[in-house]
Amino acid sequence: MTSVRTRLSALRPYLVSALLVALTVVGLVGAWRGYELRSTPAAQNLAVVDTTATAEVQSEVSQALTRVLSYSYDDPEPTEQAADEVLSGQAREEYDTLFASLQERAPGQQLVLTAQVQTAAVKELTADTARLLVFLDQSSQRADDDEASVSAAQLAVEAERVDGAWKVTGLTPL
Amino acid sequence: MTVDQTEEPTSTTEAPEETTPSEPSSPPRWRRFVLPAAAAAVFAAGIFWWWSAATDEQLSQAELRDEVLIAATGHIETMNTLDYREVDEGLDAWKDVTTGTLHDQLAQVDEDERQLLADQKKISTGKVVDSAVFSLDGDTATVVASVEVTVRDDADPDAEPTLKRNRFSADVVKVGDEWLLENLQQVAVSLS
Repeated sequence: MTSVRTRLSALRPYLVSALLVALTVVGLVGAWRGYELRSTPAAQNLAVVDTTATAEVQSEVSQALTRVLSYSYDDPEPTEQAADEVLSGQAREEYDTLFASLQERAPGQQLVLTAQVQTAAVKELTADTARLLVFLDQSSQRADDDEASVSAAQLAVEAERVDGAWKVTGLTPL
Repeated sequence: MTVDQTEEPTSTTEAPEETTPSEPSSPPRWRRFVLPAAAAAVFAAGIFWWWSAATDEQLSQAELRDEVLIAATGHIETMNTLDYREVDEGLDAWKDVTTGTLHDQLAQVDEDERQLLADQKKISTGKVVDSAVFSLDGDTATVVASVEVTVRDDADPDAEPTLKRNRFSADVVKVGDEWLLENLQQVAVSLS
């Protein structure tokens, strides 16, 4: 008995070291597995799963699109102002070209555009970038039209969060 | 920590001089305490990090969202695809990706209607240009898709195929381990 006990106590430092190594290894493996689970593309994408952030970008982008795609020949000011507020980057540049030609034609035609977002679904979402698929209806009414013509648009929208507010940076008709 | 406590008495008795305890013969106190503590901390933190990721509701929902989107996108393409030369196969494919009322309606397509589809001599091919999950709630989800449908008319072989862009909204439901379409409809224009 005594000899066994002495041998055990002689072994103890090794057993302790082995236990410490084992604990460390298991801990590191756990950390690695946890990291792997959190770093998949699916996990990095907050769309739909972060309901608050998803709802926020949906509503802000919908409002932005409604404002910049609605237009009245006799009062283009709000549209222009909206573009300043909610558009940025490439979307801004493309919009400016479009808006300039609209400004030329609109008064003669007495053009009125009314936009309404049907659905805005968030495809990708991080803390400050988003991609959405937006279904938007736009009616256009001219002086010589009997009734407004209506178009059903499908837009791939890119947005970026700048100073806490979402701005549309890309607008591609599909 | 228990390791450290059991070592305590042994080392003090082994210490040769009472005045300078433990320094020459055994490692300093802080080392005997710090190593086990560090190992225990690494173990606890690692296991907790793993466990929290494995049980994170948002992470499993994210996996589910991507799974739904892939399934629904494929199903919506299937539902927009039909070859008049293979009407039966086409309808079978439609039945395979649907459930509920939609599935029952497709199952009831009779011989006359099949003949009608065959006589139209149309080959439709659907391609989803872009799609996104609109909402996800447990075993049901809504997916929206922008679909390009190419229609070739074999009754008029010289004609160019026509291209149509349609907006679709699909209700998807999980049946067993498969996501199936419960409802599929075009998102019509409605200005209020």
